[in-house]
Amino acid sequence: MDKILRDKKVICILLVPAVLLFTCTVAVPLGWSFYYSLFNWNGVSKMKFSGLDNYIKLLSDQNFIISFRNNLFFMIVNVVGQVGIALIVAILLTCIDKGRNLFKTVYFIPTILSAVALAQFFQKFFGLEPVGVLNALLEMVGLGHMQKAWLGDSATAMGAVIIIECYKSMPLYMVILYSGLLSIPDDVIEAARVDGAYGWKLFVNIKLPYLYSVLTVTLVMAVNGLLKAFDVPFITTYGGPGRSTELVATYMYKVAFASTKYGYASTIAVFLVVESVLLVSILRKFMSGRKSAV
Amino acid sequence: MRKNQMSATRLAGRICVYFIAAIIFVIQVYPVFWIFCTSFKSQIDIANTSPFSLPGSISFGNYIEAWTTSSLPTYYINSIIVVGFSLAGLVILSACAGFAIEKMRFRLNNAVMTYFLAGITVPIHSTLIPLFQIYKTAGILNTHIALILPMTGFNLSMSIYLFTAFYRFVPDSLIEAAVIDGSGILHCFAKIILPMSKNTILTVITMNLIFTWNEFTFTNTFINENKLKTIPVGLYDYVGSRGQVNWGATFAAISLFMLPLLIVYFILNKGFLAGLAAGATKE
Repeated sequence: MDKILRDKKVICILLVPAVLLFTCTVAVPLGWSFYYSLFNWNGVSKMKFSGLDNYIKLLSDQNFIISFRNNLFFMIVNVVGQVGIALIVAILLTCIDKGRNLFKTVYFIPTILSAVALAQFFQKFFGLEPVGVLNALLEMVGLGHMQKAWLGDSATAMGAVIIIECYKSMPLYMVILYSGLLSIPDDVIEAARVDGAYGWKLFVNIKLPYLYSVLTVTLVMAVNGLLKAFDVPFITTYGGPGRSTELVATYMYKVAFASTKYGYASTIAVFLVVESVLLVSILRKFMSGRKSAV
Repeated sequence: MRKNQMSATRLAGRICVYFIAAIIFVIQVYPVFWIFCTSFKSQIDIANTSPFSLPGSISFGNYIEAWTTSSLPTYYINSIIVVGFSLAGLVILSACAGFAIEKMRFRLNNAVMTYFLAGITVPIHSTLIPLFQIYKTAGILNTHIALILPMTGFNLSMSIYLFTAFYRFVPDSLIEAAVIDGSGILHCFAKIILPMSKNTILTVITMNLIFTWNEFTFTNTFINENKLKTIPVGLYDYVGSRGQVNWGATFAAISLFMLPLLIVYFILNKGFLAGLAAGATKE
């Protein structure tokens, strides 16, 4: 038996295609980006080795700094919004006894919608010319003077894009947190109730510690997803107006495929990877450290 | 008396819960509802009535217009080709790789798994320029292969993970019995293990159907010939040129884009949502 499970030929047949494809589409290009980032190159002419010049340039590139700052703001507000709302909705779901699955299924819908479809909807929703749903609502409640093109104003565009992103991703974390809440053993909750823990107290003292590892997973997923966010801002506002909704990934994309500065864009691409890996591992460390302290 | 009071507050609480749940329900379906509504409205309706209003009459004029004046039929065919091949590739590759990682015995089981899992963190944008160059050199830029390869490659991580999570619960004795019966390990995998993993296969298909059907970045980067575009990118262009003027046709096109996914989701959601949550939490 053991010999059969160690059959090298079988292992190769099963494993090699996946490893090969994954290596060629993920690992090799990633390494290649590091290599490109050391060159001054527009994709057509000869590559000129420039050492770390691109990295030095990155630090003083105002547009990059703006997009990075935007991205951090976008990430922090969205992590709190997505995971926070997801947690509240997940708790709400556990309070429903009839039709819970229907609610859960329907709540998830925004996550399966394409960014293209959502962008079109929200452009009209936030629009002023003609009056969109939001502006019409403002008019109805007597706040007509606040009407504006929310996505077209650099002061509010970021807020609007954050709402769209939050709307799209929240249900994913809701589903995960909900299953985390369900996995808390019933007898633990019963015992806590006997001890007089109800409502808020029950949640903070009993459920939250149980939920800790699931919460960590959702936070890591959210941070990772938001650092590389692209579709929603790119399709809805194309990073505009001005650079008000520019994120690192959208900026990188423009530098690469609109300005064809492949070398420099690769430097931003490298930054994106390093940033993701760094933040995710810091977060993991922080969360696991806290856990042992409790 | 006290008992009555208790049940009164409980009833109030329950009504409250359902009330909030209903509000969230409305918020979550509103875009889909609004898009479908607008897709049935005539141009005059859209211009003259409030954005909340229901269509005055149901007419399929916008659908006919969207279908006949855009390349939507072509986009549809392209999407089906790309999504079909990607899903087939994903299921086959990840079912096999997952089985090797979880059940076969070799020195690098864990290392291979870690290697695949690292892919979840990798931003696709960090690979775009090299992929663009590789595909250009290979002469497959502007072909569907340039979409199927990365869509399959990038989604392998999560799919393999889901398969290994399932195989973990398949007892070794089952494989042993089959092997003692004289069938080869590959035969046992194909005839016994794969049929058992039906639910995992469905989860993997549903999850990746959502990703690949909506995929935007690779298509927008590697395809610039209109006749090869998939629906999301085709729509993005269609909307760019006509979206501002002709809302009816725009949202009819978007409805036709969303509909297949919504139907599949409503058929397969139960296993899919459970599988998704299990995949994320079982670490």
